[in-house]
Amino acid sequence: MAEFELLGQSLERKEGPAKVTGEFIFPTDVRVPGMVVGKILRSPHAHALIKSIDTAAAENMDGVLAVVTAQTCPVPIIVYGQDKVDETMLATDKVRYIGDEVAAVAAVDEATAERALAAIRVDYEILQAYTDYNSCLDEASAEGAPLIHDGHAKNVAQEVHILRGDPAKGFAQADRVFEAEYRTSRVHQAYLEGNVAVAHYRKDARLEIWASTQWPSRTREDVAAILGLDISRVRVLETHVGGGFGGKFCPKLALLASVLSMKCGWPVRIANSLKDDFEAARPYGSSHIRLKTGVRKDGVIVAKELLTIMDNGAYSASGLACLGVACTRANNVYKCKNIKADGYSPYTNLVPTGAYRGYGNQSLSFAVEREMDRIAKALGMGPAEFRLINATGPNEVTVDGYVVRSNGLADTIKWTAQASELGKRRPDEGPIHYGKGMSSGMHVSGNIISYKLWDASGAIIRVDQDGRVGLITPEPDIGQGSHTALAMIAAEELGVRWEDIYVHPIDTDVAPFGVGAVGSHITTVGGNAVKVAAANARAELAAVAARLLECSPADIDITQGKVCNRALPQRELTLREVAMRYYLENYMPLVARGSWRSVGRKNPDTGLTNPSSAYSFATHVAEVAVDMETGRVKALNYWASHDLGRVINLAAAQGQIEGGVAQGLGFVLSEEMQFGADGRVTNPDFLDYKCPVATDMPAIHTHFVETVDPLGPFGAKGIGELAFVPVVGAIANAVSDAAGVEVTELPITPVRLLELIKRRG
Amino acid sequence: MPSVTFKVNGMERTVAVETATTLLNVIRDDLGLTGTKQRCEGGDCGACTVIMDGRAVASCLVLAVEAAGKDIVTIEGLAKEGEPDPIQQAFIAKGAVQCGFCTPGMVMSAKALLRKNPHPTEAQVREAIVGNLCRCTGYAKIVEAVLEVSRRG
Repeated sequence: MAEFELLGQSLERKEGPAKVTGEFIFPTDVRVPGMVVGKILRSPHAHALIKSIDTAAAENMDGVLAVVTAQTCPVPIIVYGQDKVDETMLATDKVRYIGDEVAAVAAVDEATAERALAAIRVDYEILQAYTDYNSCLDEASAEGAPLIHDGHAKNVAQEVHILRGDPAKGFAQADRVFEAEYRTSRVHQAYLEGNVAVAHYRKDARLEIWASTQWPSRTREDVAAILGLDISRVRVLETHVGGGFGGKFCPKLALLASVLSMKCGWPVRIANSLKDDFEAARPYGSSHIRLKTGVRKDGVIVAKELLTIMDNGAYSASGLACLGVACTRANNVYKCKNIKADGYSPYTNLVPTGAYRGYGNQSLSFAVEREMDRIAKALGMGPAEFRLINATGPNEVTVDGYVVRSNGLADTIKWTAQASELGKRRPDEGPIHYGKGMSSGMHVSGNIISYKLWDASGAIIRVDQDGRVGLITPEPDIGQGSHTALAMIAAEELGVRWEDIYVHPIDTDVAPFGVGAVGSHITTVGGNAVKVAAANARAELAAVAARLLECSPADIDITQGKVCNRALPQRELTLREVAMRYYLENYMPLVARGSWRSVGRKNPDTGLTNPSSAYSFATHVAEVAVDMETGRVKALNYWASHDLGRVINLAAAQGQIEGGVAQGLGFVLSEEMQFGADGRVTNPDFLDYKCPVATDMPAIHTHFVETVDPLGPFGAKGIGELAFVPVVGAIANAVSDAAGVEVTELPITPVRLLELIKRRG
Repeated sequence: MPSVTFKVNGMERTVAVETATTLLNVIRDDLGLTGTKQRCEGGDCGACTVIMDGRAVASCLVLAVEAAGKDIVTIEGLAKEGEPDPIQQAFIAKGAVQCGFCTPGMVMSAKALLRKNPHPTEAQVREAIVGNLCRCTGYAKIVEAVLEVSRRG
């Protein structure tokens, strides 16, 4: 008999029928009565002072309903930011990148809005622009260099300095020291549904916003705080998000649509085109990492020293926190406790950076995992053997203070090594050389973040009089299947039939607070909140059933919608009967609540913060074929083993990995945002920004290790980000192995690979 | 403004259009059929795929006036008498839907393929959806779903 009624199965998405028939309304499909078109006037210059803005012609244009600049905004312009306060809703005295928001208009239709933008006269005084993030660290420290942001000594948004253990002593013990430099380019999350917001500032002074956001509760809070509204005046509504991947945390469009609506009184829709999303959303920053690793001849890594530089862009947004992760996370896969890490986020006059699946983990993981395979080879060890020697295990505190309980890393290494026959390489076939590469990774399951009040999730469960169960969760479904997974957790805990549970779309007027689809938070923290709410609902139903069946609530069994006294199972009630009884006794349907707070805390003794309640681990192996004459890489096979604690929805977990492999392929082989010397994005489209397509994909073999975490709901941990993080190292290692070169710069396009092959001789 | 008449999901429709209006604009804004998605507006992502006179086309690249007299099927037109198309059923059953934004375009490309070639190889399936970008699924379960339909006949 299976351990669970539902968990572990590949249950169909609740919203599947709506999505496959086109019935499903995404945020970009939302149309409300009276809705008008909002558009943004963006800076054409990377760095310039604003001398004056003349909006008179635009304001007087027929069909134009509102024009807003920083000077004419209906609310005071304040400086805000996710982790560092350095951004305003609209440019005040200067613009800092091509795309920076200077004015916004609302008009009756697109054409009129475009004409209004064209009629706005802005007088700029052009300043020198910094568009190369490496030179910024040197040039900016020169005397008299114009600063991008006042109040800074140089153009650096953030510095990170970390010292763990005794690296000097560690290096002294090393038999060999390896040094390398790694670079990755700016990439875009390339979500298919663009950024959009529809905002309506209503006559009763309540603001209603339809958004495509990864954290609806947080968007509500951000908008309220930045516009100076009491939070209960702001309502955020969301169905599902058409992809986010870390790119949809920014409240900019919601803010601008809101102030336009305040001015004109109509609902205003602002929708980014693909070009807008490339030029003015929050893509992921490029990185430059120098890594020094000291190893003993027995294979134990004894010390590390690293320098990470990540391009911050013009404002700080969610990209800022990526630096800290890119100085730490990937090192926590391994036991080495002697680490010196320094990091810098230079300001540049380029589009501000945001997070991307992994939040910085993928950048450091690329460097660390490339070194793991490279060092293993130099020591004459297999990549799996070298990793197993250094792998962390269960119930350990890692170098950066992560309190790890469940940890299946070793099993993931062993499975992938065996399944891929890692030691064997296919013989060359003329110019086609084959290779394999391994990569291990770890990530948080819900990272404690700078949410002002707390780090937790809430859930409400409503049992209607017909026994159907509605789950009200604040946690968004951005495509990962969170709503289906949360419904599975609720149904498993409650004992309701799968067909009798449904998930409400998000409405912050009804839903409690949740942290959102960030830091792989939803399965563990969101799931636990749902489980608590479901347990409370079950307890209330059991109390009613116990009276009907004349037994104690502890005797009650609820499974598949059937309720009975375990000692007398022949006498059965349906959940519908029990729910109706509750309704008749209480004059309302059953409403149960639950919440769960992340255990991540700062340890006062070490000063280190354990950022997560649980940690997921994974190992990946890629097999590729390199054409040594063209530099083209074909991914053939892929093996991925994940310790995710407990599988909730099997197809969804597999799907996360399969999608992560595609994004990783792009990150390594083809995706690169390109900038002109003037700071303009030169490939803001899907023709020249190359995302992997169906014919690029390898055969993918997935495997799950269920370590049953003591804190996760039914033992479950997250997978969303870790599905992508190790892919970068695995493919880069495979290409290096196949071509006999050292891949240190991404993307490793055919041109770049041929360069390396030629240099190798 | 010129007006254009074409068949959409079996029904004849007449719409007033500007010369530059695309078929995608008409489908979404004039006819209110928002199942067909708008993204790149340049024919690169496939989210706007519909079937026009039997061929899968990017509706963002078709001018409304070009579609005069043509037979157009959108994602909303696939289900027959309330019964979802086998491709739609397979997408759900195989877990081929994640965020779902690429799904309508994918399903239409798959439909056009299977009409012409009811038993494609895996390579042919991948080739048929090479113009449909997906960022969530890695295409794996989408391909499995289409092959499942072709296996069932």
